[in-house]
Amino acid sequence: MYPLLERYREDVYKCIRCGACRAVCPTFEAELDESMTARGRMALVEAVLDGKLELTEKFAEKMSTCITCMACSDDCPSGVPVEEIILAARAEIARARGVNPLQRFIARKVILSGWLLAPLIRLGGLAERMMRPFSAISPFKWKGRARKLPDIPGRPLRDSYPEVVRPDGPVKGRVAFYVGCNINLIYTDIGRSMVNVLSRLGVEVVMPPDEVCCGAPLFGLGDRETVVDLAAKNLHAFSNLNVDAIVLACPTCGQMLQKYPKMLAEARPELKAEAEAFAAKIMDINQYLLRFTETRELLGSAKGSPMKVTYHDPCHLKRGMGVSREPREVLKAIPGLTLTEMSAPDRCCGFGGTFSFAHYDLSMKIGEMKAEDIRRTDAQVVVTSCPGCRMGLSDLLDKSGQEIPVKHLVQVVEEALDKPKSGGQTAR
Amino acid sequence: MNLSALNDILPSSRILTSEEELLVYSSDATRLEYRPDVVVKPENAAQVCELIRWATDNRVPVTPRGAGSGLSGGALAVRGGILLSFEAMNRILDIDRENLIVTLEPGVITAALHQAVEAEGFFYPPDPGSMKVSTIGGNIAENAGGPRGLKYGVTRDYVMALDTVLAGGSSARFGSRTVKCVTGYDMRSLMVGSEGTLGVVTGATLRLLPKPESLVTFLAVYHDADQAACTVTEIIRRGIVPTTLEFIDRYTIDAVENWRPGAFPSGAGAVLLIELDGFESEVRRQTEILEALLHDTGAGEVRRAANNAEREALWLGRRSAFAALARMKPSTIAEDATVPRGRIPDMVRGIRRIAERYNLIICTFGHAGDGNLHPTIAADLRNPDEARRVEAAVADIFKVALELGGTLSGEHGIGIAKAPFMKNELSEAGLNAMKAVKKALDPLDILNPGKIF
Repeated sequence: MYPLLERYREDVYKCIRCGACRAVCPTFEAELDESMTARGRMALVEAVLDGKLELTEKFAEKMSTCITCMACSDDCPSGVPVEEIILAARAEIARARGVNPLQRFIARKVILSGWLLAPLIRLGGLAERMMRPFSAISPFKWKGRARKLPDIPGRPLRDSYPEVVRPDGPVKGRVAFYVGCNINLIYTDIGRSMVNVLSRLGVEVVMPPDEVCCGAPLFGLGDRETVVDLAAKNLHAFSNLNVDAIVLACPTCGQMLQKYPKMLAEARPELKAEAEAFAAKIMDINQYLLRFTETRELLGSAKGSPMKVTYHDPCHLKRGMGVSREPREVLKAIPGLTLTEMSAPDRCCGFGGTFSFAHYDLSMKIGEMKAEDIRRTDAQVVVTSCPGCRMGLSDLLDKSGQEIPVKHLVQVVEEALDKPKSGGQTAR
Repeated sequence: MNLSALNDILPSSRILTSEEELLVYSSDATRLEYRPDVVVKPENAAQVCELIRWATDNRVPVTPRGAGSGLSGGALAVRGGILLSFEAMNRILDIDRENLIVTLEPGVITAALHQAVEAEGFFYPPDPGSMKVSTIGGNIAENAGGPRGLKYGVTRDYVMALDTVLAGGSSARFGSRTVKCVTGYDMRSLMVGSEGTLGVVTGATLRLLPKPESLVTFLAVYHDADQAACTVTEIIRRGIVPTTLEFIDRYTIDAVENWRPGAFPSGAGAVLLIELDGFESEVRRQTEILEALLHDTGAGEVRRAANNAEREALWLGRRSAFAALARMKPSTIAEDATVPRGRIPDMVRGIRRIAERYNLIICTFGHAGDGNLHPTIAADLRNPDEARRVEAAVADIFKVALELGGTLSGEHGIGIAKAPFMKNELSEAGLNAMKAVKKALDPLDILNPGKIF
């Protein structure tokens, strides 16, 4: 009946219902309810598999309110892959409901086709800017104040660069930069820092024009069909580039791209080998920076000004891609920078992507604990390595009265180097 | 069942009736399932009184629940009715620094209490394995223990007063905020470990200790389990009462090695994890005696933690035990049979024989210092033959423990799982006396029916 979920039957049964997830689940911490835990959600999935429960509205709600931060499976004695099971449940729900016309339009015509996405985001950004003075009627309010969202730049990042950005001086490496929609359309400053830092290191940066959305938001909503089509397009765009690595500054994209082989092995088996080769090259920028031998030297010789920072581990980077040591090593290599850890640096910030729009109140409730943890560090800057977390953290800090900036690690690296790249090929 | 009256007692957001919500509250860490008719989440003691008054008047059973992490089925609504969750009553109300007392609501998670009082330089010793999840209310209902039980005692030893709601909905405070109290019957201690069958706790006053100045951790590696087990008694005989004295057998070590290689020293036949705490000079003196003793009793290797990081490393193996076992097979059955300390070597051997007789994976680890071992079975209960063997093995474990002068449950409670075995430990007169108490306090069997007896 539910083929996507059925394959997880054994995994679901592995849950021994010890409740260890309650100690780390952010949605439980916020709501103090058994149905808002991995244990509760797995019990619901098991009931569906056993035919004791239908794919009800409430079931869908419980699947939807999991923020998929993966903290539960980290601590789970039995190793239940909760996030995978939740996403499979959402896919079953999407299959059962059919896709509503608006979502279908956005998935196929806007995201998959690609060209409509930028203008729509800009339009949305403009509308949001216009509505700011009228915050009283904002749909997203927390404790009486409207949600803080970034200004949308006038131009996508990839439109501002040629396909290949060559460094001044000898070429020491060559990477493809998978930009992702957030950095391409919203936080273009992170993208510019990426290109500048890589150029400074002597690395040639390739940004294929045919890159499309990695599919993470759609995968999260259960629309796997469109994600398969997106994957095929991305594989094509990034094939035959002859690069050392495909680097990213967005771990949501990173962990999604790493899911391509498994997903395509079934849906498009002829692409399986290509997907594996592709996934093998995926690297978070922090990993690349450290594998690149020049990095520490260059950072160490930079002019350092004293700065107290704290680092927030994005869920998708630490648990999705297994990267948490490298960002800290990069930060520690920067002179003048003091890293003060939060009591729980890897506790989810509550953003969760589309989650923060579908469940804004819950998102903010979860984030409050992060905001307080940040306050206790007394840091001057919050550093993270995910544009999504940056968005969420900026809103959180604004709401908790903390006037400190949130920066992406690659921006901090750029600042630490003497000057951004000058001369040679620059942004138009 | 007409539950509309509940709307007069609680806001509707605190009354859960949907199929999905009843489902998630049907189960606990035993993985058994019993569906309640409604789940309520009171915010204060007054609501609890009214709920129990209504329940008694209408003959509806009430099952109290903390985090549902209990291993004997205490939080299961075996006769349906009201599942009374204390998740919303989770505040620490006051830490009295002069009298070393903490007042709190039952839904406070034990580890949260530890954090709060340790920040003030105090210490709440009971540290059940579930402490990051379980609640004080649940700990009180089951008289939870933990590794620190040997030196510091169990939950009951720290309960000073309990605000209790009785069947019928009236409430009383048992015990007092004073160090000593012998005013009438010791109802407070009766309530502790009564598994919610005699009264429902809505508030607790617990005593604290000053936080020990110094703590040192050791890992002693033995070639065979017998030597390790005998060392346990020897330590106490020499006048050392460690704050932790954990025994881990070879099967547990192997299981952990498969999952987290290097967590235990390689080639260990059995391991003792020992901690000493107290004033620095005291700890130094005890360390001297202990280290000499460990070598006398045949420890191959003794590691001592020099700092927090090393301490974590020594504990890693012990902490990984349960998870390592849980990963071997889908079902995990944790038992709790306790014997007098001197009989530990016999108990360990007895468990070994049972594992062989029924061809089951049984790992034994636990609080050897106070005789409370946790023989834990990894199996697949969906296999009927295996399930039968597990049931027989568990019955045998109880038998062996009782034969060695022990008891059915050291800290997990009787619940539903062990109820059938009560008559093996207690005489008829003993059982009848307990039933008489239940009948006196809850004649209509409203409070957590189906448990203990």
